[in-house]
Amino acid sequence: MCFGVVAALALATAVPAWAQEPSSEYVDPTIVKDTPDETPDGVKNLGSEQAVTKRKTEYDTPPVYTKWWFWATAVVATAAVVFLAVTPLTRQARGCTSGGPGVIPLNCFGDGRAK
Amino acid sequence: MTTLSRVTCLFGLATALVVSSSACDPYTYYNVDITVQDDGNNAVSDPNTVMQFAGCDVSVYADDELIETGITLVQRTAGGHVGVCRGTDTAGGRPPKGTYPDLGILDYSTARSSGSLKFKVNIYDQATAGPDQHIIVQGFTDAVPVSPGHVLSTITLVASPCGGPDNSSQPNQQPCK
Repeated sequence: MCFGVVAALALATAVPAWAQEPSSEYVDPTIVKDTPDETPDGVKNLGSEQAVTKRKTEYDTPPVYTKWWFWATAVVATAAVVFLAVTPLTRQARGCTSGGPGVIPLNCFGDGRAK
Repeated sequence: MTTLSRVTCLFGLATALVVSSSACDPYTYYNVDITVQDDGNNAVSDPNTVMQFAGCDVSVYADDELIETGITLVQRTAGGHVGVCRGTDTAGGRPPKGTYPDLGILDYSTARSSGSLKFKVNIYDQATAGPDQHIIVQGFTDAVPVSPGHVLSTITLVASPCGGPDNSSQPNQQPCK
């Protein structure tokens, strides 16, 4: 019942979007002015000092791959990955335990040990 | 970040990787303590009975897949290897003193990173030596999970006499396979 009251109030006070008045009249910025010397409102001045400064800022920063430390990091990371992948395969298992007093040491074999 | 800082970071990273790698042991070590259980009739402690043992071997299973088979069980000694289930000493050709019922501890390593291993020991009858020789004592361990970098000690393996047609003293037991 509470939901029904809320819904009824909402529907009663809601105004459809098509029923609202536009806040201001829309003007197409590409419309050519009456006088040939005038520039349409939508045209940006790409040659302005501000725009040129912005473009310089964007393109004057060199890509990261032109930095020496980028390649140095790549080489170190690659070497580390290869090292970590290969080391476990070449590493020998620890030596055979001889056992304590009274312990009879039997065969010592398996992966990473001499056959 | 200055150039010196970057270089320091790079070498620090590389050093850390190398040190951490060298400290990490990829192997799991199993110490299996193998004991022969007497059947109550001194079948495995009576020297005359022990004389029937032609030899023994160990097999390793990884998740029920046989990965090592027929490794003759020997004792590591200063003078070399001595078979623990054969009459190898000079005093009557019997097994080394103190061998039974405790055969000793096996040291096995695996590079597997997961799964579990199980060990089996067979002791063979000398009376049927050859490719068709009978197994008269047998034992298994439980499946023990692999744990790289750790020593799993000590896993007990108890081998018991087999019954069946190959061993009339144990008519109620199943023959070993």
